[in-house]
Amino acid sequence: MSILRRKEFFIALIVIISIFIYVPYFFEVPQFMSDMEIWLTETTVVIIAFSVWVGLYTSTRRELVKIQRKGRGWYYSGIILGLAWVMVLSGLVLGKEATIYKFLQWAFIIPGDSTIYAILVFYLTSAGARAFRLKSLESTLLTFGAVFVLLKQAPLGELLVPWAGPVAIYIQDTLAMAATRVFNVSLAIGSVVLAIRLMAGQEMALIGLVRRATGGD
Amino acid sequence: MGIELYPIATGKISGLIFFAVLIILTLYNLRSKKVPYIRRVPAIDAIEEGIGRATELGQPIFVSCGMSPRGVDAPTVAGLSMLTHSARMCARNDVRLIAPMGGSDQSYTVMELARDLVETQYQLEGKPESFNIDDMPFLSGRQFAWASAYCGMMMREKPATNIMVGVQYASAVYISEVGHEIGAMVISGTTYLSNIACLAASSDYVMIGEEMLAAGAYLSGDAGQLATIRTQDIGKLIFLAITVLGIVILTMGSNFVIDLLSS
Repeated sequence: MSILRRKEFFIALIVIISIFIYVPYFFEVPQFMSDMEIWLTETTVVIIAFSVWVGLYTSTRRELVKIQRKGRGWYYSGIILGLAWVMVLSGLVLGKEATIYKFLQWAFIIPGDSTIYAILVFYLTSAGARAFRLKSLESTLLTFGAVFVLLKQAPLGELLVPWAGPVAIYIQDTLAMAATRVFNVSLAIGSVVLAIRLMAGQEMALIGLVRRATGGD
Repeated sequence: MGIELYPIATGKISGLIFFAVLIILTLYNLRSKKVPYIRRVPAIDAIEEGIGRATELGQPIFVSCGMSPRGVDAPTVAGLSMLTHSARMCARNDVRLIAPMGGSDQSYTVMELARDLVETQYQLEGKPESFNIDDMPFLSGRQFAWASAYCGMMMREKPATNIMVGVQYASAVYISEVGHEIGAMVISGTTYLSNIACLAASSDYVMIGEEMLAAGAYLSGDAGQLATIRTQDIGKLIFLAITVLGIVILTMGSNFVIDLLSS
């Protein structure tokens, strides 16, 4: 079992799996390599499916502890726990087409999500109000850019200031587009370099795991 | 019987060449350990300030490694690096670290990884008893349910600092604004372009795109890792040169660069 505790084992595992993922992407490979790529991808899905149960277990444990301690708002934990388990059991026993499962979905989850999504606009407004204070050259440019885009988007905006539309289109299609492409290119390169660092066993997150596995050496 | 060849897949030659160049450059830089000049990144430097603030105020800090909707991808690794660094600083300074997990169906696996990383940091700092797994609860696999529970926890615990790095969607503005309302220092970072403007407006410090991906190397202080940041700059220079060449050649009526990149 000692090999499983060695740093080299983890790095070799990452390199081998990376080869099976990367090579079929770039090359026309024998069938067994394509099959291996599919198998690895499917295995990930299975692992994730199992980890869902870990999530359910920790959520249940957390809510049970809150109920047991009778802390502030403990009854909300009871409601969450009850609804979660009713949903799990109805889905498992009766199936996803069962009335109770659909009722929970349509009466609780979707309205809740939609409400919170709608509330976002108020948070965005308050964040925007702070950002658009003319405190520096950057914030001044941002504010003027935002005013033109707002005038184009707002009802009657273009009627009040007819030249705001073309200026806003120029900002969006030329300045913002150029910045977006620079951002995307640098992000792609950054992601590749990060992946190579990971494969070389250098990234901090991986080293944390390796140190644990090797007992701190 | 001839030798069976496995040619490069159509349309991927240029990608393979660029990928190979990046691999060679990164590995060379890792070995050379020639650290280039790296400008200070205020958002990354602010993490220590944020943890120092929490130490002085005696309040906890909140750290999120994002929603991880695609599992352990590049932004999530960056988020995990940040979480690891924060955990080490918190263990060292006896600051309570709260890391609410969740946000997507894939975040279950990331949760286990994150817990392991944080526990490891407490062990490495010689304070394994300070690690509390209940401070890394799994809140929900749904984005807004997770965000609401995250905000609720922030309202109750009143953290001094909220660090959120990783894949962040619309809910990030919700969390960062609540952080601002309760007086926490908000440090955020994401690679989701549409969200960066919102986070820039609502956070005290924001990491933009590649800054976040380089954060792990930046924080490690390791010469080899820092040297790999040079690869990113060389890669960008290559792209810049191809772009300028493409503009000139296309203006002259040739599709050479387009054909080259599509090969």
